[in-house]
Amino acid sequence: MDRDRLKLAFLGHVDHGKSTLIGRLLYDTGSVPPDRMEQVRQASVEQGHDTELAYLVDHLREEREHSMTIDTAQLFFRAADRDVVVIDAPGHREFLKNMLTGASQAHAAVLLVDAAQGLAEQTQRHAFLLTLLGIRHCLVVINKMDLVGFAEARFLELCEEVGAFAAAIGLEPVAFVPISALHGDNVVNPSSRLPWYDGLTVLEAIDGIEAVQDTQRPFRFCVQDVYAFDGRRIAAGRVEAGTLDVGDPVLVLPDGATTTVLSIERFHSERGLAEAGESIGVTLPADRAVRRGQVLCDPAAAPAVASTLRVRLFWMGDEPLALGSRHRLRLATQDAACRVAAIRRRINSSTLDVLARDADRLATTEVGEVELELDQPVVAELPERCQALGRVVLETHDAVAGAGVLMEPPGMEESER
Amino acid sequence: MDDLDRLESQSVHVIREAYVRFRRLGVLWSVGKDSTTLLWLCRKAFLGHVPLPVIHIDTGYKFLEMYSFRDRLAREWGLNLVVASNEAARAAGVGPGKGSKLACCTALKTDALKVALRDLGLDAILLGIRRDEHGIRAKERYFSPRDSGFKWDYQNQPAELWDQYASRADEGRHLRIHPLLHMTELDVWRYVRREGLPINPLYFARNGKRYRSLGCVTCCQPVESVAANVDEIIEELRTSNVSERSGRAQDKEDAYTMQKLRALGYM
Repeated sequence: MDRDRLKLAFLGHVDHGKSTLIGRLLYDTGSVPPDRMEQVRQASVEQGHDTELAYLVDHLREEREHSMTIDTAQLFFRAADRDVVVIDAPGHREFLKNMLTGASQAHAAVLLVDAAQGLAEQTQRHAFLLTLLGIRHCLVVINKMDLVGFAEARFLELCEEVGAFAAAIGLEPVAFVPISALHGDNVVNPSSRLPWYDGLTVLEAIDGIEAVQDTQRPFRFCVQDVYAFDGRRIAAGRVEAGTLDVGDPVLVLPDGATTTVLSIERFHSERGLAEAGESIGVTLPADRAVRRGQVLCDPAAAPAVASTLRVRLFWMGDEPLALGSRHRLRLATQDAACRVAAIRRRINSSTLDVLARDADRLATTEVGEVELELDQPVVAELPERCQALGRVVLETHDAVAGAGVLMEPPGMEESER
Repeated sequence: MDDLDRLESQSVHVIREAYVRFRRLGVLWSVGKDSTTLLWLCRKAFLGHVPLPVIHIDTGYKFLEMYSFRDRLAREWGLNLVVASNEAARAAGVGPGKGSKLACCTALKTDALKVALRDLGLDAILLGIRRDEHGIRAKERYFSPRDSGFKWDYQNQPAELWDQYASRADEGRHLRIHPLLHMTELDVWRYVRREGLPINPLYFARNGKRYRSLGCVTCCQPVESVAANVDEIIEELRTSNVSERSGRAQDKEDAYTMQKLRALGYM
């Protein structure tokens, strides 16, 4: 009974119909209990509408009153072959923080485009942010086909336009699907109003998305904390890549010493080998100091330790990111103070225009290629090698204001070997 | 690792982050299946221990079976149990059936929680709420700030990505931390079965009915069911057409009671 669980984010410009599409998927697959449907019906009547499927997702009163998603929500439904966690994301420019929060948890994405309006500002920005988030699988859905008379020509025109933009940012859509979420055409049930289309429905396309496989990677374990509840010092954390067995040699970074894993600690579990994704405890020889922020790794394939990072950063702060400003950087369980040493390129994340080189600031919603100088060395590597060690957030006043990925392998520092 | 292992590991990661960021941390226990699972996940995180005060908000209207179950488990698991209650409100006659559900829940639950947090000096608490329980809870963050008035600023939540969570509570504010957010009702029951967790018998069918969701006796209706053990509950859920909280009166008062309650600091 081990069904695959796919986390799917729904992205796109405001009012292109994301919430309605999700509502339609839930409804047409029979995933909504009648009592919940009744609540939606009543709430819709109160707002003066026919039954709004979007209300299955837009639950806040303010969202219904303004017909607008404010924050991300997650819902669950059972497709034919797997369970799907649907992550709805707001399409309004003002709520990019919330869109990023939702989308960052997804394995794959559905990018929605209004057939009448075409590619819009947030459509492009969301697509670009997908590449930042490292989400490769993307399904493009052309919605509101009813507004363009279900015309094949318009569909093909948009496929080409979206396809070209996707190619420019390195995104590879797995399919393009024409639908009307409002009327239910081609979402779960094929439509007689699209006779020229012989491809998949949205539901079929979702079922066809391949689950991401964890490939064999060098071992990485990020220490979250050290416990001594029963007298022994146990390093608690999560295996971020690879596997670990008792007796394995490990390199402790950023310190640089090699040691051996004495035991793998768990509560109420008979498991032996620890694998990527597992939260465990680890004990090392008593003379080995352990603390939060350290990374235990495969000595034969270690990540870098660096005090300068070059990051592709999406800025969400209320104030612009200023050259020379200081922030808190968080990378896995590491915490370091940093200074913005350079903003090599400043990019509009919707049009992809390079606004400036060697800029003095980055405004909100822009993406920058930024050099950060850290007060202390951190363990880092490209996200393709280890996601957890390749992604950073930047905080201003204790709030996350920027999210970024490492652009190039961080420089090797002198460290004890 | 299977899907339950992954869900469990994610919860453990959240709990450990909470503990390292907020040493003045407590855990809320309603003695229901979700918060009991949460306590078990704490034992997973801390290798058998629950090094936190465990707070039970007692409205005085809970099922009798809950109390005996609570005390037994607290003994067996060595819990530091703190029972909190809004005595003043109860003495003043606040209760179900007198005024709105909104007012009663706020007084007997939310306000009791406020006092408990203050008396224990906590700046963060773990709760067992899940996204699939309610459309409003679907909007939650793992680490969700509350201001000094307990208000949830749902229109301005912090960005939360890549397992990086809010790290501080300013003076007077506290953090609500939700390690079970990503688990569904079915996930919880499957996990209960796998781990052999003790479960309040009220969840099992008696005379053709059982409780799917447990709150106060007065505001909780059982649903039609013959599922008399965990296996049967799981089978029933796979084919069920009724939502988990359909028997909860609080959700019926008006469409936005849960939103209003939560904005005032409810769970």
